[in-house]
Amino acid sequence: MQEYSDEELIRLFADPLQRNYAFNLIIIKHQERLYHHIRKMVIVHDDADDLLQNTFIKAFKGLNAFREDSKLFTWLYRIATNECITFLNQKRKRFFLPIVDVEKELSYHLETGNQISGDRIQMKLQQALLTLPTKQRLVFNMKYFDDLKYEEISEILGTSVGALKASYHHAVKKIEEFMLQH
Amino acid sequence: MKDIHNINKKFEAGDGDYQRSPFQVPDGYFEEMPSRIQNRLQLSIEKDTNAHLYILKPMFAAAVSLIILVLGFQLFINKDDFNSDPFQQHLSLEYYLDFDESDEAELASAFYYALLDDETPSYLAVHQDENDEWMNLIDEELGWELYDYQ
Repeated sequence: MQEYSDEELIRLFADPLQRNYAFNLIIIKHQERLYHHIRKMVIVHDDADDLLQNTFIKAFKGLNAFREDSKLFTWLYRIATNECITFLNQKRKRFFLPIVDVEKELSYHLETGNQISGDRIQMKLQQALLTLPTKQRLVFNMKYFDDLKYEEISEILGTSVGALKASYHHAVKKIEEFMLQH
Repeated sequence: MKDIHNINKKFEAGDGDYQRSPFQVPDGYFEEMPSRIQNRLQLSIEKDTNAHLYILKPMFAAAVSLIILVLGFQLFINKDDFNSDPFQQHLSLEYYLDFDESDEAELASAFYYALLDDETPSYLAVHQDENDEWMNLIDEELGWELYDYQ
């Protein structure tokens, strides 16, 4: 299969006859990274699956209005991130009782859920990540696992590079503390 | 403790094992994703196309309810007209009221009409005669009220 650049895919998508073909190529190109980004945030495969599909459907509807002043990948990442934040906020509203919290529920899924098979080190890191606030977790995931540049994360989250660096630094410190205590 | 320090060293250096995601996907998940999304897109487009029906449905229901309400109200305020028996009106006008009382034959035929016709209310067949002693006697004895039926 011919490898298209994001710019070429957007141009292809603009042609109504090629739209579905172009969109399939966009899905194939970006689905894995987006899936893992979402999965790290929501832990459960079924939830990640739903959110990934929502992300692509929203992208399809908004791609005509997409301005090429940002990268397609960054734009898709932003939609996926917003989907994750909305999902977690809704989950928090559902667990309005203070004795149950979402992170505990996610941690439980991490220990018992399907489609998870990390070694002890990886699982421990994931447990540590669940102790972080949502935004810190996002920043850490994007920087540490997805190797995104601060400038790219800044574009996705709409936060300054300085604030992101501080956030990442705090996240690393908290994870190190968790590692020493557990 | 030594282990933990090694872990932390690995973590700080961004070691490959640490960075590997522990999350897996079912077999063939990514291969099926484009067709699954296309199916959902098709459903979503159909839903958007039929959106006007979802808006019109409540409006249609509201319009029908309003019509029923107006008709019901009209029925309620004109219930006497609806309840009136056309046959009864016909009889009272044609056979009981418009006859010449002085004509005994006509009076008798109107009276018999009333008696023979099952659907005619009995009170229309009663022609009260103040001079009828028997009627007065019955009213007094039974305590009936006297109604003027004409």
